[in-house]
Amino acid sequence: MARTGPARWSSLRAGPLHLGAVLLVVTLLAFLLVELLPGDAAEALLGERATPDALAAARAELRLDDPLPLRYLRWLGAAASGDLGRSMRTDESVLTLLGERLPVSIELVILAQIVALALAVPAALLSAWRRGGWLDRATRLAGFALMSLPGYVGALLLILVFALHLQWLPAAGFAPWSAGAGAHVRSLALPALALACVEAPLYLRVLRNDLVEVLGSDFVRAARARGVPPARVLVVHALRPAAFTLLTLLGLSSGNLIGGAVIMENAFALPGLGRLLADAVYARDVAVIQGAVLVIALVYVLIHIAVELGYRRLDPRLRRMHAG
Amino acid sequence: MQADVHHAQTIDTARPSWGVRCAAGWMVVIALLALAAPSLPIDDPARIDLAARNAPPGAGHWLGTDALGRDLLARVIHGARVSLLVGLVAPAIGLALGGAIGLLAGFRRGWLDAIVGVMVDALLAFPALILALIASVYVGRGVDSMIATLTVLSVPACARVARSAALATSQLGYVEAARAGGASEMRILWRHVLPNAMPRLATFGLLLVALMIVVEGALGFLGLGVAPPAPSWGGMIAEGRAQLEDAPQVCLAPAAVLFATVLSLNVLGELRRARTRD
Amino acid sequence: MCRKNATSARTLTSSPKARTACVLLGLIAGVIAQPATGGAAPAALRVGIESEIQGFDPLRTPVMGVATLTVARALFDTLVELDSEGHIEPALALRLEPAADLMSWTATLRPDVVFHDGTPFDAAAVAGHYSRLLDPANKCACRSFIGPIARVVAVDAHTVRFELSRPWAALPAVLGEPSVVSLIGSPRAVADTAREFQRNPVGTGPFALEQWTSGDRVVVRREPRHWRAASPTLEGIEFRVLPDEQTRLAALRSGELDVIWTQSPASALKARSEKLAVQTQVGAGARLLVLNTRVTPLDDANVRRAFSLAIDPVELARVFSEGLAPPVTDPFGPKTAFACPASDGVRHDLDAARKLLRDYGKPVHLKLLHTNTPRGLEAAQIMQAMWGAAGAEIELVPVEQGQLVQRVLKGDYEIGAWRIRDSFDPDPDLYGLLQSQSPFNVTGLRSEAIDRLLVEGRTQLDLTERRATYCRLSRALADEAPFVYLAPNIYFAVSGPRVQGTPGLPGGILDLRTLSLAR
Repeated sequence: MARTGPARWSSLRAGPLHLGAVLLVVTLLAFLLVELLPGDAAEALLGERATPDALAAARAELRLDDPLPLRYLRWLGAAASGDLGRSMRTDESVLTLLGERLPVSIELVILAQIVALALAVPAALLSAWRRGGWLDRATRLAGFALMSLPGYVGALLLILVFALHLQWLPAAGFAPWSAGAGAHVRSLALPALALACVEAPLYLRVLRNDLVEVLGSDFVRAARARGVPPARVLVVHALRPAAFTLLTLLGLSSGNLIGGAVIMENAFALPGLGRLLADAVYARDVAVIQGAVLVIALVYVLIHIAVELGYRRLDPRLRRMHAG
Repeated sequence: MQADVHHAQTIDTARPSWGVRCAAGWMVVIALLALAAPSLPIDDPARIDLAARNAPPGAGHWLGTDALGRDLLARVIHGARVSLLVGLVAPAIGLALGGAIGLLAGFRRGWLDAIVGVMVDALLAFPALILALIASVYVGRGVDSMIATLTVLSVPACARVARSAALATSQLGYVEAARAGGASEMRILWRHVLPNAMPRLATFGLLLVALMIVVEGALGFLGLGVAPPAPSWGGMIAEGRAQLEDAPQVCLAPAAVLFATVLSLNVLGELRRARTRD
Repeated sequence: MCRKNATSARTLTSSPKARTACVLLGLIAGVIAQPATGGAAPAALRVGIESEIQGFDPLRTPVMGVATLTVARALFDTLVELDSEGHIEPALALRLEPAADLMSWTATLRPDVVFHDGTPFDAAAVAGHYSRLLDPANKCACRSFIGPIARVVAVDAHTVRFELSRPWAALPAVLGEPSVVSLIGSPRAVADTAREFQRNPVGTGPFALEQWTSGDRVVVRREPRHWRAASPTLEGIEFRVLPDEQTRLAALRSGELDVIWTQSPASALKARSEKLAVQTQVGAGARLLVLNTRVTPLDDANVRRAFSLAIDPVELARVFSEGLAPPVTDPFGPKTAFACPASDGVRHDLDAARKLLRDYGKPVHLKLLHTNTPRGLEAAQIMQAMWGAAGAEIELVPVEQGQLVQRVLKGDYEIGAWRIRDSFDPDPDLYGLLQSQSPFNVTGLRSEAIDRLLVEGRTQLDLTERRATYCRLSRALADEAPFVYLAPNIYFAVSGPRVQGTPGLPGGILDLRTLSLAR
């Protein structure tokens, strides 16, 4: 077997039945994760000093005594119709809260992916083309070091350099679109860069290896022997097949980026879904936790579906060649 | 042709061996320091000295002090205890439990594989940190809870790797022949599948240790790590954030140690990966 | 690999991928290179505050934090206002006078005032506001703040009478300080169940709410019809929630914000060293820890006394105030009219503390509830160490600010962080905090002696007498020891170069109404 990469990810290529099952399990887990906590929702609501009578009344009101599957289905039904409950802390509708926070996180993740690609693709191209040279080794060394740097450490280093010393960018805080496009992008610049630094090394490494392999294939050598200029070789003949792997990577890492977004939103005080979840976890705001986890998992599964569709669009011949 | 096909998957062939030696050396030093921490002639990591807050590195405090006047060197070393303990135990359990599940699923195929596949995918659909976030609050704070949380992350990850390894092995000619020949499944598992999967699992395990140390740091950074005053690298980084401009050593000392440790583990993991390939 | 390097480099930049990458990087660099404040200078005042806004409905927000009150100050008015010496100035009421028997006060309202939604401001609105708070069916926890008020009556369209159950010297202060009870909202908005007043406040203030994004910012815009002749020249104010101290200060220094509110002496000192304008307020009240007397072992007064003796107020003052304020030994604050001489307050004696805990016999293991901010965590760890030295084992439980308030009010805590507000008159807060039946009695302390002293202090009108009474109260408190004082309420407002005028900090709440921006 050539590599563990795509073969391991071949589970992605499972059909709609598999994805549907994953979705179901995820919603069940989201429901269970907070239902199986020590002390139920009534205790969380009323506190440790609540009288047994008050607890019983609350339990009856919340219908906590119904069997678990029934409660799950009821929650699922309510969620499907948009009712995710209300936040215990601010009494806002969870759906509203999620609606406010999700776009910020999505924007952060997309921006981070763009920056990561902008960093990784040129570096991988250069590295693969000059394979074995000093540039290749330096790039791989830098990528390796960056991969070992945890996201939160990188974020703080970026804050230290760009925000506190150079004062080019804000250290934290979020400027919405209404505050002006410039301010908005500037408030996302450092978080996106920090998040990109988490994923870019992985893209660099996999893409570089892929490119090197493709560059060494008969197909490409034949093209070069025919006199095709090197840039065209790189882009048309090498990058396209490698894009297959890149697409897989993008899909997979989008899920991980959401986790990284929790860190970055915390480090940079962004009002996103990750921070909402972290705050809700502190406060044991059950409804918000359930809603946020559900949305995150749904987004992840949707991304997988999108990746699958992306595969279909790429040349089937390339797919066969790659998997072979 | 050979020269071109020999694509270096790993950093190792390009890296001079002194890098590997440094990495191994660092891990040994950190592990020894962590083990011996209580007996070392260093300050009490919890001792607050409000007169010497945010002191820069100097005679009395080699790495300086934090915002409450506690010696950074002592706290970094004691933080290593937590990080290494958690980072080693959780993947170990994950490898044992997840590895077993994955091997069985990959080898047996059928309904077991389908169920395990779905569960693993579903669990891994939660970005690791989020799963850890939720688990940590309800499990509580403390080293045991941290280990439990990180084990929950390790098991599906190891299961996935073990499963693909078992899948590959079970398709090999002689294994299929052995099966057809009527050999007991457990025997084949034990004698062929497991040894075949071991190198891959071992490599993954090393990288998993590094990952778990990072996740433990992340939880500490978010304020969900081990409870104060026990030091942890992530918690120290979070606490040092407020002093980032005036006393960066409070943040950078644990960050540097964390980085060095993760880097060393990754280097060693890469070394293993290179060895198992060639 | 036979191509020459030069050729490869040239052809590489002609590759579309590389070009796209260059464009992207250029775009990013271009955006970064913009000046810190963006294109045109914004006309709104940008203010950095520390915590999330809770909400504006008194029935749903029993205790309004400083951040909420800062925003509320811009949206609402009070009947009267207090100047820095505590003298009453007219606001929504032109006059506030007590009756001869001191059992009622009459307020003459300012005519021609209108709420932001067009509802006229009149006596019915005022009476309605207070009646709603006093109505037992509404179970407003705020009733203990206005306990002595029996009834509020609209005498005519512009005259309101507050009828008291006993003489109350603090009434003007209570009506004048921005708080849950004194900020008057539009009766129509309050009654509108479709648009919750909690999140859609309507007042008479110089600004009206324009936008509120939870956890991020509140934007208010100038209300041109405001009754104050010298209206503010600010077009609007943007309050940004930035819990991180360093971020807030960095945002001010980089020009992202114009004014910030902070309680960190370190930030104030740093700002001063950079020649930024720093306004300081050492207020009444205190930051303290409350001990839940309903929980063993805190039900034993000796254990509580041990906890008091174990801490060193001088060292705490050094840490929390960086020398900018003296140590706190009573609930009145170091610089107020009611401050008692230090000998009446708490002592520090670590050995005595150890002895008391040893004599208790059983191990003392308690949970300390604190806010999950860096300041809260720092204070908590210091207390953990100090009490650890005395022989108690303390576990730290970090929670969010709103959660902390909820849990302490419910009594669901062992040791919690709390605050006695910076107000002109100590009565409302102390009464609410210490009176046996008060819903705000978070420690659960029931002491007849203290109840008696509270009533005396409340009903006496002579300042000297009240001072003496409150000093006796302070001694009784030191004896019962339900509190551990950490630091005075010290507040700072730091302004950037664009700001003209000085922000006020009465009671620690930013007063931005007199500010304007340099063009």
